Amino acid sequence: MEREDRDIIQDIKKGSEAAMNELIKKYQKRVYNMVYGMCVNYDTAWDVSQEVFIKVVRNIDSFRGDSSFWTFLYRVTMNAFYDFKRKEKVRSRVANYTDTKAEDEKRVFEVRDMLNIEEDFEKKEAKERIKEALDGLTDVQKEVFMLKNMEGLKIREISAVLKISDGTVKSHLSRATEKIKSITGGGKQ
Amino acid sequence: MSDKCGFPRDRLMEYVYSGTEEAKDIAEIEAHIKGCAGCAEKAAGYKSAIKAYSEIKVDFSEDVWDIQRQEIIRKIRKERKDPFAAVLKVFSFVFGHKKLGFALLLVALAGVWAGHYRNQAALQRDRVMIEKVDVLENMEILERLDFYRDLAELGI
Repeated sequence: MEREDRDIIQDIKKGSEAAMNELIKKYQKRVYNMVYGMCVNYDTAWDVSQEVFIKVVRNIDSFRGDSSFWTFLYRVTMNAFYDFKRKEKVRSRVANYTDTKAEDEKRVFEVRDMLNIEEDFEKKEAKERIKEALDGLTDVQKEVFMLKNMEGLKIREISAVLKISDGTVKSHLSRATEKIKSITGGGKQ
Repeated sequence: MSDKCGFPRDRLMEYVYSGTEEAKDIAEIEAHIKGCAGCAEKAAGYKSAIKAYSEIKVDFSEDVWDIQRQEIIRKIRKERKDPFAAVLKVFSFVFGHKKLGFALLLVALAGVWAGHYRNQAALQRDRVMIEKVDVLENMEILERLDFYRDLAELGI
């Protein structure tokens, strides 16, 4: 039986590695897919989702339980994602001069290699079009669209997480859906 | 607005997302869609795009998720051994507690202001001292002049 988040968090605060493992196991797929749903990039989703859990453990004392753990995790995830994007931008600017990634941060494998190759190939074109469509959205539009269609949240839940009104959520969702439809051709292959 | 018939796009969206929301007045939208090929096509396009997006979800084999967990735990262990980890933790704690961070910032600003105030007070004291010494020196000169004038008057 799955333990409650607050019990796991209490154990992490005491320094339990088993509790860390339990928490990561419980949320790693969701975190990975939230990031993947924002950028459609396997490697970015892998690196960011790792960073998210490191930050969660590092800042676990600042989680006081005022909101749900998922809301806390969501904010850490989005902050880590935007930080990563900023760093990537800097890295790409200085890439010609030096390799700025620390030894420890470097991955020795491609995340794509771990996927079912056939399945990945089948969806390749659709993913590329979705990526292109997402690139044309604002950050908040992407977040709303991802929370609705990847996480399956209701409008009022999204408005609570993002601290914006239901009407604003609907407006972002409507615009994002329209843009994704226009670029993906309504999902036609 | 939907292009040709003027049916609002927001209402079409309500229909498209009615499966996951508490839908009301959907019957009215459905009735419109049945009689409007343009809106029916649009709604189908929206649904299709949403389906394509939700299908990009990634699921690796359990071994791969295990590898990721191990990597995360290894990095956390390494960070905990780092001599700067304690400093990082205090830093994270302070910035994680906004009120505490704000209070520390106020204390730091008050400290800077107090230091500045002490310096200004010391400078003011020095200035007053210099002025007094100047007055004393001037008084000495005047006294000497009076002494020589007295001598001259006496014809010495």
